[in-house]
Amino acid sequence: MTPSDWELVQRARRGDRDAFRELVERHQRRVAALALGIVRNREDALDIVQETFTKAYQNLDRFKGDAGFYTWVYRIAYNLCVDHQRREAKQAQSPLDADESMAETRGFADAPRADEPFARARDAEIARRVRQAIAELTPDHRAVILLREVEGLSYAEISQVLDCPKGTVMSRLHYARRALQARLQGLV
Amino acid sequence: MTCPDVAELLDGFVDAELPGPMLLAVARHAAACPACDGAVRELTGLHEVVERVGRADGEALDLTGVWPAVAAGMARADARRAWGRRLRAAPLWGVALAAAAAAVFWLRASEPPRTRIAARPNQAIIERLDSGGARFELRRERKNGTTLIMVSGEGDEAPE
Repeated sequence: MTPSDWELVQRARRGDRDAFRELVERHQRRVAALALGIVRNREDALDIVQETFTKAYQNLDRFKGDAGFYTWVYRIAYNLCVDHQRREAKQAQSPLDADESMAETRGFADAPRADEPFARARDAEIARRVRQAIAELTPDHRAVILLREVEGLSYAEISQVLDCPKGTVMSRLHYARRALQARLQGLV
Repeated sequence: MTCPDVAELLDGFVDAELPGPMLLAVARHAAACPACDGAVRELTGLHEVVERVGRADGEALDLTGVWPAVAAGMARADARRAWGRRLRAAPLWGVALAAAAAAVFWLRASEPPRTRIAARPNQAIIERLDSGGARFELRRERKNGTTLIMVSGEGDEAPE
């Protein structure tokens, strides 16, 4: 039987490194998707994933278990992303730099398709426009869209991760979706 | 339920975050209203495309380096914790001794550095002058330009 996150946390607290490794391997992909979606740079996203789990290990005693482990880890990752963006803003990195680094990230366009190469070209264009539209959102709107649409978190879970009221989550999600719809007109 | 009502509830409906009866009311309205049905389909389509792109980008990341880096961070954290435990377990006299040593070190480090000035021919330089209990008197002879420094200890009378 697969142990629950809570059981693994308890074992990790007692010094079981394999238990923590299992937690990392269970959640790293989702944390990576969130970090990549927010910071728009693969290397920075990977650094944030590593730092997220290192911080989670250091603060494991503070995890009460009243929320999901992944919600707690997302919150750490989100805060690290915000810190990263503040540093980036100070260094005044242009949005174009972030875009260029993301252009190397393939995956959606590389998925095997029966009707290649037309479908591949179309998918690549869709992926490019969706990434661009998400990148143009404000950081708060970007985070809420990724947590809801990609990670599938409920409004209550998103409010825990972002540390804001549920009403704020709903309002941000509404505006973020309208902004995406406006930018992706004719695509979806 | 009217179209403006549905427009307000659209996000909650697509995300299944509305209470059951409200979900049902919106679904009933959308089934009979092409405009609202189109709005629901648009939001669903947006969700699908964003999810697909987001997940594919996440899947494309190479995460093989994550665990080794996290394990190294855990080892560093464990080492720091071990030091903290050792410090807390140290006997009181050991802590006091370490504090005294640190204080001595700090006092020595905070003393201003002494600078040596090279004396020129026919010139004397006083490197240290303690005034506690002593009196000093300087007198310059006008005839030959000699400066006399007279020092008297505590209780002594200064020469006239």
